Parts: sequence; C-alpha cells; structure tokens
Amino acid sequence: MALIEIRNLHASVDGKDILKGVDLVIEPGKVHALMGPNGTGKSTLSNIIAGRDGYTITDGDILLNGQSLLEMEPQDRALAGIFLSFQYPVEIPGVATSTFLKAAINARRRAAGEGEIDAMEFLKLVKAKAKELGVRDDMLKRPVNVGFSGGEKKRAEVLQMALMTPRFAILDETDSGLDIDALKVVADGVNALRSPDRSFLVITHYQRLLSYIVPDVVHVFAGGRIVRTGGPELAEELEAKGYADYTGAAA
Amino acid sequence: MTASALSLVTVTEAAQAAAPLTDAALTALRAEGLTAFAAHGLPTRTHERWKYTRVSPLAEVSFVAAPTGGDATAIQTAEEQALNVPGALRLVLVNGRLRPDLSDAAALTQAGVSIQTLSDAIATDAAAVKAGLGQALALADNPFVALNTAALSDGLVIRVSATPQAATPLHLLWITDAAAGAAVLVQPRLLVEIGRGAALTLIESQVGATGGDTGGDSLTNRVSDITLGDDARLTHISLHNDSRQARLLTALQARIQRGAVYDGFALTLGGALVRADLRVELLGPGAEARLNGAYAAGTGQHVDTTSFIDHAAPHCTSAQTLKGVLDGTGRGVFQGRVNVQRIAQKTDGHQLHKALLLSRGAEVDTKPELTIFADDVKCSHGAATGELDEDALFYLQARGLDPDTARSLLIEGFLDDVVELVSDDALRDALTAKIHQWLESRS
Amino acid sequence: MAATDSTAQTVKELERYKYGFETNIETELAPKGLNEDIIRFISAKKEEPEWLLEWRLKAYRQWLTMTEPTWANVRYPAIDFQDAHYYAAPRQKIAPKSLEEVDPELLRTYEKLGIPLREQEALAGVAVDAVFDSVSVATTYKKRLEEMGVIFCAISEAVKKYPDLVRKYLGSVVPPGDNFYACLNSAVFTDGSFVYVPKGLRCPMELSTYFRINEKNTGQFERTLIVCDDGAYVSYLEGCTAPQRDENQLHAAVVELVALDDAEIKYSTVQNWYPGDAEGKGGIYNFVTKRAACRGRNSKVMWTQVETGSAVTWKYPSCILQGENSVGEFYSVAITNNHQQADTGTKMIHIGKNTRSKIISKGISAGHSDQTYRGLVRIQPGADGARNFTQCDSLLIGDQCGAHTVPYIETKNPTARTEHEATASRISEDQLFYCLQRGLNPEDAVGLIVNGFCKEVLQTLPMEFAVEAQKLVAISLEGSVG
Repeated sequence: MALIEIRNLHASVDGKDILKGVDLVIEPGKVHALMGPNGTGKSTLSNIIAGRDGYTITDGDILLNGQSLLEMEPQDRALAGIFLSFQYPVEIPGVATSTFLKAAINARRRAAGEGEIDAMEFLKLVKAKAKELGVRDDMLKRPVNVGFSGGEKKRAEVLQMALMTPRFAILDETDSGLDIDALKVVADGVNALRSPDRSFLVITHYQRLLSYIVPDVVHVFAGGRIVRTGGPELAEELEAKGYADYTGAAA
Repeated sequence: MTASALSLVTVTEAAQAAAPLTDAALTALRAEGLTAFAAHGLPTRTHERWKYTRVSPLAEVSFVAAPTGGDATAIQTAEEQALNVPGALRLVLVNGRLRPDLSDAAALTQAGVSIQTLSDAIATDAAAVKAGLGQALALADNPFVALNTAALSDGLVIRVSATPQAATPLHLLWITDAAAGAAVLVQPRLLVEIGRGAALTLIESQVGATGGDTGGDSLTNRVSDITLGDDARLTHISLHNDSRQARLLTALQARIQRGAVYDGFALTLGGALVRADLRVELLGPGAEARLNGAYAAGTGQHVDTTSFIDHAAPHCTSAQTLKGVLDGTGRGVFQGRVNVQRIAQKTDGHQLHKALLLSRGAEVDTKPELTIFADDVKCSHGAATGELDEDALFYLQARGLDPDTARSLLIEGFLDDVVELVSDDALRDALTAKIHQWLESRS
Repeated sequence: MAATDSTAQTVKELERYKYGFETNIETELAPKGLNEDIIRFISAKKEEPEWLLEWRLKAYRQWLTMTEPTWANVRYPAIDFQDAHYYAAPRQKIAPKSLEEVDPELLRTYEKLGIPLREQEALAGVAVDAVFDSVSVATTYKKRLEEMGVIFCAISEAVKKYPDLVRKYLGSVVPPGDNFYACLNSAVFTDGSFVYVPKGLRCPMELSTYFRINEKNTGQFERTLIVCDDGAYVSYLEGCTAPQRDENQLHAAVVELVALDDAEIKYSTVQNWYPGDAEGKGGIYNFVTKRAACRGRNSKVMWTQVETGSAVTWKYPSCILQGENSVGEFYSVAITNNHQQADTGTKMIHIGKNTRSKIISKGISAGHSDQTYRGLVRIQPGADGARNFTQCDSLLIGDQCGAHTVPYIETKNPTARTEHEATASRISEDQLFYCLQRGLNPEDAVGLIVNGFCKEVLQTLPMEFAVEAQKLVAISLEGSVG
C-alpha cells in the first residue's frame, strides 16, 4: 500500500483556487521531488498536508497508510508521522530549543503510552544527533530559531526531523539560503534517515539539492497541480531549460 | 459654573446676540453648548485629559470680542509667519472671518470644491451644516468644543466632490489680529466634507498679525469637523505659528469611512499655549489615519497634543509619529490613545513620541495609551526622551563646526526625520523652511 | 482546527485552582464591623504598646474622611466595609514557642499547599513565615537566622521585641494616609512579616512568607516591613492562596521596603489568590500598596511579580529612587482569564542623580478578562543622568478580553533618558502551527509560547520558585484555548 496518497486535491484560500486537482502516490521508502516555478502552490500543498488552518479543501483527499488525514488536527497528523520541514521556520522567543525538542519528544512518547524521557537520556540523544548535523550545543540553549542564520535554521529543522523519526517528511525549500557546505550537511542528514519504511517529499526550485538527495521520482508542479512526472533526469532537464514551458501552460 | 470662566461666557453670549441664527435646531445647539460649558466650567487637572495642561489662568483674563482687523501691514506680517506653498489657493480669515478681498478669487470658483462662510452655509442649508458638525466630541466632556458650539457663526464650510481633475490645494490663513492691551476671543468653526472618491490637500497656517514676540493677548478656540466619505483622501498640513502671547486651542474631529485616508501633519512653533485635541474615528474597513507632527517650545511656551484614535472597523491602519524639542522652560505634552474596538480585528496601530530636552527647566510629559478589545491586532507605542547625543555633538565639533551650529544641525536632523513622512515635496519644503526659520531665530 | 478561534468561549469550570480547600479549625473572630472598639480589640489581642494603638486610631480617623479610588480600570460592586471580620485567628491555648507546639491541623494545611513547615522537610535554604488569616502561625529557621543577626518574624512579634526599629520605619515609606486601602490597612493590619538584615550581611537564605486566607467573611490586612541596612542583601518571596468561595474577600496589604547605602532587596511575589469561578463569582479583591525607598547610595530594589490569581487586582509596586546611583527594577507577569480584572504596574520616581530603573511587564489576557498596565516614570529636576527603560508587552488570547497600556512618563531633567516601548498582539498563528506540527497539543503549545513570552520575568525569580511559576503560568491559561 502507498504510504501517502493524494487524490484529486482541490483547495482554495479566500475564495481563490490554489490547488486544482493534485494526484500523488508515494510508496514507502521512496523520495519524491516536487519542482516548479514559485507561487504555484507547492508550499500550500505542504501546509495542507500538515493541517494548517486557513485553507478550504473543496475536493479530494489525503491518505496516510490508507487513512484520511483531512479531519485530523495538525498535532495528531504530526503524531501519526507527518513531519514538515518549514521553508521559513518561525522564531519562538524565550523557549529554549532543547525545551522545545523535549516537549515534542514527550508528546510522541505520551501518545505511544510511554513515560517522559529521562533527562540524561534526552541530552545524550540530542547531543549525538546535533553533532552529526553540525548543530552547535549553544544553539540548543538558544530560543527556537531566534537569532539563527538561515543555514542554522535549516539544520535545526533536519535535527528535529531526526529526533521525531517521522513516517513521511516534507522538506519545503530546505535548500534555500544554504551555502554548498551546509547543503551537503543537510543532505547527509536526510540521506541518513532514508529507510525502507520512510518516505520523503522534497520541494525545491532548483536541481542543486537533488544532486545530493537523489530522488526516485521527480514531479513538475505548475498551476496548482502536477503536470509532469519522470525520473531524476527530469530534474536535470528542468535545470537546463527552466520552467518557461510550464509557466505558460499554468496561466 | 465656575464663576471664573465668566468672561468667556459673556463674550460668547454677546457673539450669539450679535449674530442670531434663524434656524431653530442650530439655535438650540448653541444654547446646549453654552449650558454645557457653563455647567462644567474650565477643565482642571483632575480631568485626565487635562492632567498636564493648565487652563485655569484663562479665568483671570478679561476677553473682548475680536475686531475686524487685518490692515495691510498686518497681512504682510502674517504672511511671513505662514507656510509658503506656491501654487496653493489662499483663503484669508482674519479673527475667524473670511476676507474675500484678501483671498485668491480662484479658490472660490474651483470645480468640485464648494466654499462658503459658515453663516452663508447655514443660510443655504442649516440642516446640512448641523449634520456636518461632529457629534464625536460630546459637549459635556469637551468644554471648549461646547464653547465654540455656543458661539457658532464664524468660520468656513468646504465641500469637495469627485471631479476628473484633482482640486488645487487650498491654504487657509488663520490670522489673529489682536491689538495690544486687549485680549480677543476668536472661535471659528471649520467644516470639511470630502465626498466619496474625492481628494483634497488642505493647508492651514495659524499666525499672528503682529508676528513673533509682539501682539496682544488672544485665545483662538477653533474646532474642525472633518468627514471623509468612502475612498476619499485628505492631506492636511497645519502650522501653528501664532505670536508669543497667543493661546490656541484646536479640536479636530475626523470621521473616516471605508477605504478613506486622512493624512495629517501638524507643526507647532509659535504661541504661548497650543493645545491640539485630535479625535479620529476609523469607521469602515481599510480606513487609514496618519497623525504625524513636530513641535518646538521655548521659554513660556506650552505645547500639548492629545489624540484619540478609535478603530471602530476591521482592517484599519493608524500611525502617529510626533517629535518635540523643548528649550528654555518650554513644556511639551503628548497624550495619545489608540482604542481598538472588539469588532476591529486586523487593526494595525502604531504610535511614537520622541522629545529632545535642550535645557534645565524644560519638561515633557508623555502618556501614550493602548486600549485593546480585539485580539488579532498589531499595536505598539513607543516614547523616548533625552538630550542631544553628546557623541554626535563631539563628532561635528571635531569636524570644525562651532557648538551652536552643531546643536542646530542635530536638532534639525531630529525634526527632519518626522517631516520626511510628508510625501509631497512642496509641502515638505514649506515645513522644513519653517523649522529652519525657527532654528535661526533661536540662536 | 481552530486552535485559537474558538478560544475562551467554552471555558470550563476551574478545576485548576487546587488550593481551594478549607481548613476546619476553631477560630477566634472579632465581631463583624469596623469601629474604634474593633481597632482597640485588635491592638489588645496583639498586646501592642500605646503608640501603635494611637497610630492605628489616627489612621482610622483619616480613613473615614477618604473615598475609594475609582480611577483604575476595574469594576466591582461596592464593598461593605462593615460586613467583615477584621480579626480571625486560629484558637491556640498558648502561643506556640516552637514548631512542635503548632496545631498539627495547621501544619497539615501548609503541607497541602506545598509549604512544609517542619524544618527537616522544608526546602533547604528557604525560611518561611506562615500567616494564617490574621496571625503568623509559624516561622522556620528562626534560630539560625537570629544567630546571623537577621531578624525574620511576625510583625506583631517585632513590635514587642524590636520596638525601636519598627517605630523608626513603619509608615516611613507608605504613610498611613497614602491612599484609601493603605490607610485602612494602617488601622486594622493584623500580621505580616518583619525583616531586618544588619550591616554588611548577605542573607544566605531565601526568606518567604506564605499568606493564607481561610476564614469566611474576613479580610486579610497584612503589613510587611523589610529593612536592609548598609551593604546588606536579602531575597524575599511571598505566596498567597485562599479557599474557593462564592463571596468576594478583601485583601488590602501594605509592603514597605527600605534599602540603605549599598543595600539590595529582591522581592518576589507569586500571587495565586482564588480568582473566582469561570462565571466570575467569588474571588479575592487584591488591593495592595507596595513601595520601596531606595534611600541609600547604590541601593537596589527589584520587584518581581507573577500575578495569576484574584478576581480584581489593584497593585503598583514602586520604587522611590532617592539615593545616588540607586536602581529600581520591576518585572511582572500578569495573567487574567475568565472574568478576572487586573490594573497593575509600577511607579519609578527618580530623585537622586544617576538613578536607573527598568520595567519589564508581560500581560496575558484570556477569556472575558480585562487587564491594564498602568505605570509612572517620573524624572525629578535633580535626577541628573537618570535612565529608564520600559517594555510592556500584551498578549491577547481570544476576542472577548481586553489589554490596555497606560504609561505616564514625566521628565524634568534634560540629562535624563527614558525609553518606553509597548506592544499588543495575539499569539502568532505561525508559532502555534509550528508547535502543533511538532506534535504538541494546543494547550501545551500555548503554555510553551506564553512561558517563552514571560521568560525575561520568570528568570528573575529565585530558582526554587521559577519552576513552580512556569507551571502556574500554564495552569492559569487552561481552558482559554479551544
């Protein structure tokens, strides 16, 4: 069975149609890339999968392991295994990153009927993962995303992903704002998480990231739906030719 | 009634008698105003809105009705004190009364712009005038508005309707002509109605006929009622630059409908006591108000800006930045309240007051206030007081400027910062020139 | 998902107030009402010297001429000052000389409140004075403190044992006629704590008073006086709770702090009086006058308050900065939910040269509550080089509450610098969604975000209480998120 299945998804914001019939099936263990021009609804799609308020679903469905997500609250979707690495991670002043991570881990443990994580165990776990991703210890003490550089924010997102062990992760423009070294670190982090029962949707504008996170399937997204699907070679074609063919079609 | 306010009442009663109104409703309104003022008398410092401004000395003054005034030298002196905005059509009002002989004739014949004296407007359509008189400021709570209402007869009514061509800016020259030895009471009323989709630039200069430090005692108690229809726009520039003895109390009540923009800027430089009471109501979605300004007060001057911005509809914006310079024993007061009603979601309201104290004896009192009853809002206020930046002064001196020039430069920079908020070049230049003139006169 | 949309409208009954129980204990009450005889009765019960009785009577006579203040942004029915007992004390045969002699029922009450009084169980490093209705029932670690020269006892005891100190400072910061409630307090105050820290001593223990209103139809009128002599330091914390009752009860306290040369006082409050139920029935009227005199050079007073309880709060802990280089700081978190009303803030009066003050106020309004920050910063002509920084932030949760900011800033010295900033907004949807996406439920997410919002204030609390305060912040907002 597909891990994630999106059927004929239509959605609007303030009466304006953004998604116009998205169909997408992702099998367990696969990495799909979603590419396309800016402003065509890619971030809308990721927000809707994660359950953000403010969108009206006018048709279609989103299934995780055959179960519809549409009626679920965002936190329940998260606990069911959906993870969104935000394009613009928000700052939460006054809340230390480590406090936040602990709260998120404990939310999962509570849902699984387990007790809260032991403080020492937590520290060990976080520090080990942080080291792998080049997240410095002092970042863990700082408030969530406050004063982080663009690259630090993206690393922190991937660190969270590593700690939350999701079933399905969406990386929304995770490459934006990263220099080449940071890009490699982030990509290594993602690749380390690839496993037969975990799937990814990598949303990006450029092919660059896909050289490091090699996708199984590439989709072109334009005008609120997927307009073309192919293998990794499609990403290279887009890099060479741009999106001109699709922007016209979308309008 | 406080017996002490007797002179103000007597002169107002005389004004009523001298200019009787035929309209019953307006006559009743006048009586209501007088009753309200008489009942409450002059506000004292226990009135929260008058906490920092004492008006009780007015009780000691024997006021007289204002003379016609306005001879040639008086006009020339007044002009020097006023804003210089080339291209604007000028209307001159001496002691509250329109002087067509001194005004630009073209001002009275512009397409889409109707201008009448208040008494003519009442004679034409008293009901329309009554409808335009702001109901926003309750007479019982606003003694000076009550007194002005009691005196209702002098002043101007400006009505603008949408025309293909934008109206030429209007410049009102309010001239106080007070002979030495007598204290004149001037109580004009200004009604401005900008119709749906119409726009106007209105410039006002409040000046003295004798200029600067001379001139008799006076009290100008001016009330403006402004109504902006849907998508209307008013750019409103005011200069208060009366003589050193003049007292000026202005009250402005603006009602702003859906999508309309009130863009106000007030510069206060002259006058012994200048109090501006601003009440702005944002009544329809998308309405916007800007109430910016700058002031300078030296020895013997007291400048008070008290504003109330009422967000009564969602998606409205208000912004207010005020900067003041206090010198000698000058005193500045800013009381600003932004009220966000429960219905006014998505409000954006910001307020900032900054004051520079240049000497011992100067004082500034600030009370910015937020009262918020809706949750989806972005509101803020800021206030700061301090002296000139010593480091900056030293830097300029190290570059060879003498201390006075350096100080002037920094003060000018401090005020320019807020004048920059005026987008029209000609208007901005006119304001900057006045500030410059004030700085020159200071040193 | 509507995590904030339907906020506050379906507020359930407050199960959150876990201190709402009542202690069954025999109580000695003064007859209801207030007159000179009642004041004589209180004074006699306390075995007070003549001067103090006269002081009380003088205050009472002045109080009769005063009227209740109405300028605050709070509304409540008129208080019948004759319909309350002004003295209520647990009946004890003899005054307990040590903790072993204290009625076990009282000890159990404080244990239930999380304040064990037996020293072997008590928090190490924290000495507690427990005030139950009108009297102090126990003070821990008294002996150890005495050995160091620190006086920490009930004020009634101090009147007897240290009359000169009390007489010198009582009413010297808040004179009896200062305001209506302070004047009432001066006439009828029953107990409270007295602290004196001698020259040069940094008091190594946290001193803490725990106030408990238990009896029905009583008010609590405690009086606290803290004097820090030259170079001394003390950190003091007060906590307050009361049973859940349908009637409103009045709490009108006066706190006076005196800091001499180089002295420092840190005064923290965790105020959790019963706030009333979800419909606004019952709860404490908390009308308190707190003021510090920074009399000495380089003296420093720091007020921290976490205000989550009370139906109505009227409170402005202030600093009079007389001494050169003296420092006043005010850190406040105020949370109002349901029908609570709070009008609170501070006054910083700069008199001396180079005095500095800092005000950090974080207000959170939820439910149908109304909250006002009211503050005064006054720079007197002689306060050369004075500095003030003020930051007031309000957070609104739900569209039925109000948040107001009313600062007064008066500057009469050109070399002084003041800065004031205030903001008001609701919890950001982006922050909330981010937390939910990581699996937090809405209440935990709001608790986390609000605690972050208050961090700057909470971190000024003594460590022992910071954790408790964080929990209290989250609990106080329960039911406010849909």
